[in-house]
This record gives sequence, structure tokens and C-alpha cells, in this order.
Amino acid sequence: MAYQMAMESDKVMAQAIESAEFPHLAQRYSVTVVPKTIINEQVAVEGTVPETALAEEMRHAAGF
Amino acid sequence: MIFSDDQRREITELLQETLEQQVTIVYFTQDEPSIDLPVQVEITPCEYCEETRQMLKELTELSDKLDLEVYDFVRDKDKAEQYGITDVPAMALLGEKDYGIRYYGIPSGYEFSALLDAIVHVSRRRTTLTEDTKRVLDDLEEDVDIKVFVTPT
Repeated sequence: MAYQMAMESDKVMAQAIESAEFPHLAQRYSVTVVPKTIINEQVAVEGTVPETALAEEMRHAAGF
Repeated sequence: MIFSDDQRREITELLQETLEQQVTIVYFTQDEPSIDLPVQVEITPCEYCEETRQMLKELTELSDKLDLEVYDFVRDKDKAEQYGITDVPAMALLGEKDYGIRYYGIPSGYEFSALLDAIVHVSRRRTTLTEDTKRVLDDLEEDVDIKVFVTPT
């Protein structure tokens, strides 16, 4: 879903990160449940995020 | 060999049925330590880099619509910076341009299916997002960085 957002907009970058291989990152973002989605280092959502919810969180994070 | 014969057959069929345009996987690996060590020590700077490279090599050989470029995180530092790569193993999925799609780690188990899914979307150059979502994306005023932490099953 995040990848599709990145495809649709030049302003969006989407990175999937395998938690077990990058424990320092998982720790930094307090990842205890996967998937965990972090938007602009500000908003965190645990579990699978449906499209409308992700779009809404992105709207908040991008400041309007 | 990473994939079994059955898996290769299945993946080949899937790719044949679903891929439309060219997809390039730009893969970053590391085989030498990042620092000069005072003594000769056997160090593997990246545990899964070679296995991931092998997996991607085998995958991209299954379709002429898939290309693989391999760079070293240390030796090809300028490329790593160009793609904003901060760790290895890492890959960027490109269509006719860089969409900003990255994957960090070895895509195993369920994550491999997710990778194939991403490749197919990029190859088709279209998403299945709703018009509402596209409107939100059009209205974005700032860059958005989405990180999704996953784990193989």
C-alpha cells in the first residue's frame, strides 16, 4: 500500500524494513508489533493500515 | 540455488502473466568492512547480503522484463547517496523513473510475495488506489516518508 502511494506521488518515499535484520532501527522506532508504519518520523500506526486510514495519516503528517 | 525448480516454474509463469513494462531492481550490498582494520580479521559486514544478491539474480533471470543492477554500499557510495540508501542489504524498484520504493533486508517468506506484488505494480505503471486517495496525494504540500517495519513469516 505504501509502495502504491510512492508510485502515485513524487513527494512520497516508501521504505519497507525487515525488523529482525535491523534491530537498531526496530528499537529506535519501538517496534514490538508488525507491521508498524512510521510517517515522517512523527506518526506511528501499528498493524495493517487500510488505504483510507493511511491517506488520512499522510494528510495530517504533511501539514494540512 | 535459492529457488527450487518448482518455485522457479511458478514464478516464471506468474511473471509472464503479469509483467508489462521493464522493472529495474537496483540492489546494494557490502562485502568488505567499512573501516580499515589493523589486523586481518574475517568479518562479514552484512550477513544476508550475498544470499539476497543470489535471490535477486535468480529472480531477475526469470524474465527479460526484469533488470538487476548491483552496487556496493562502500565502493559505490555516490550511487548509495543518489538512492538515499542508509543500510544493506537494500533495493530500489524502478520503472521508467525512481518512484521512491525501497526494501531493506532479505525478502523471505511472505515478504517475497510482497516484493513480487510491488514488482508487478511497478511493471504495470499503475496503482489500484481510489480517486479519494489520489486527491489526497495531489494535495500534499510536503514530502512524505513512509517506513513500514515488517518481518518474514
